[in-house]
Amino acid sequence: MIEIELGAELVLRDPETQQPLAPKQQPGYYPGYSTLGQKGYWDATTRRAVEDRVYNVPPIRFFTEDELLTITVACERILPQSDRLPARRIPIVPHIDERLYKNEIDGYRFAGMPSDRDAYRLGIRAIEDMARSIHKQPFVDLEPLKQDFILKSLHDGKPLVPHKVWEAMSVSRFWHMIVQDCVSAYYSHPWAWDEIGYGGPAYPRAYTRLENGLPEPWEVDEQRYEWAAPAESLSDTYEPGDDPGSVSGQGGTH
Amino acid sequence: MKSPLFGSFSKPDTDEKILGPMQRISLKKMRRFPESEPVDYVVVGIGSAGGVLCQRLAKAGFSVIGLEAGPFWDTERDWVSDEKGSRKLYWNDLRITGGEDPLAFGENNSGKGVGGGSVHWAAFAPRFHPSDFRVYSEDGVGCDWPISYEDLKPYYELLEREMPVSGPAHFPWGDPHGYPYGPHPVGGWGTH
Repeated sequence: MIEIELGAELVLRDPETQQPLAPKQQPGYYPGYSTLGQKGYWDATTRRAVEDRVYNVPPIRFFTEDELLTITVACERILPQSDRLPARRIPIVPHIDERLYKNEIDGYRFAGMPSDRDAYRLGIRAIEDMARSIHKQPFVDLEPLKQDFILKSLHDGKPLVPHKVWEAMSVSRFWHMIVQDCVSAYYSHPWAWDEIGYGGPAYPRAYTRLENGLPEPWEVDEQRYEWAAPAESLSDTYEPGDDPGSVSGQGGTH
Repeated sequence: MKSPLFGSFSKPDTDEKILGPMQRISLKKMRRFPESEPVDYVVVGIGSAGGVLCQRLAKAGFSVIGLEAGPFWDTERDWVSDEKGSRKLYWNDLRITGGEDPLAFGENNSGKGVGGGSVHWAAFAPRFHPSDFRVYSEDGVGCDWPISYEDLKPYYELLEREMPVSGPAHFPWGDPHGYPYGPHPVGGWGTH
């Protein structure tokens, strides 16, 4: 497994005192809540699947060392986790790497798109080339804000620099895929469930509260607090316009 | 917790497939045919439609073979109560979607394994509205069905009793009808 060091760390500050905040053990509004603490109520197969995400993080087998650096930093900008202790950061890239290594796909591909594997390699190369052509520096060495502007241009479907990769591959579909992979890796991890107060697997215990807004007996109340978005972030300045990354589809419950 | 609901979790019995605490299937009772033997029907795909068709034909005395892709899931041993862990239930083989406005295929409305998509069906069984059969004539989109709602209505009624489907005594939309079993309580999501 390849070890890497992340670039510049963002400092979170208390919105009133402006004092730097220590990295958190657990982000979110449910301090002390642990979904994994409920694992005794899950069936063995489910317990194994969830625990594997914490204790058996897959090794990097698909990305090259250079690709791994770029994708790791890009994912850290898509889903920043610099507000928490390094040991409590949810692994994103290992899950993307495993999916690509095992060639696990969603059962379809848009005509004109390369395979998911090729799309990642091409997209990473284009991101890296964009950084070097604008800033004469590798993407990973840029300040977070410059990284954000590069990624935002992909989000907007308008890369800052033309690249032959984008002639062959839809920017929006690539962006949609990488964001979806990040979100999927993050929110399938029990620490993310702790963060949002999600009750976790329901079988075989089942739910007991049907009514809207009533927590299950093992859930805890939300405890809101003020927080400041990282200073070097586009999150507060960005005004959403047309969403080129959306995909109309057949998903849903049936 | 060793005995949820009505049964134990898992029995190392090679003959039986456990379909949840209350249901199990014995493979021994399933008739098998040698490859050389002629049969009356072969049904390709044993999902919601093909599975019922197999059962009806067999019940009527025909010899039937069902062909299915993927594993015969044992729900107690193979399934997880987890969204990402359930991806293996979907049909994930590569298909290409194209055209002027290509659709993203929904992953959770397909299935690979004995039972097809019905293995993770959420037991939601609304009838089509009569107008759904005439979308081209009425709305100028898609195409009309070659049959009408009235043709299907007796089968809706039959299956709603057999499955059974629960719902209000008077369901006012489409062709107004009632359900043979009372509705389940509405959860918080249904009251938004």
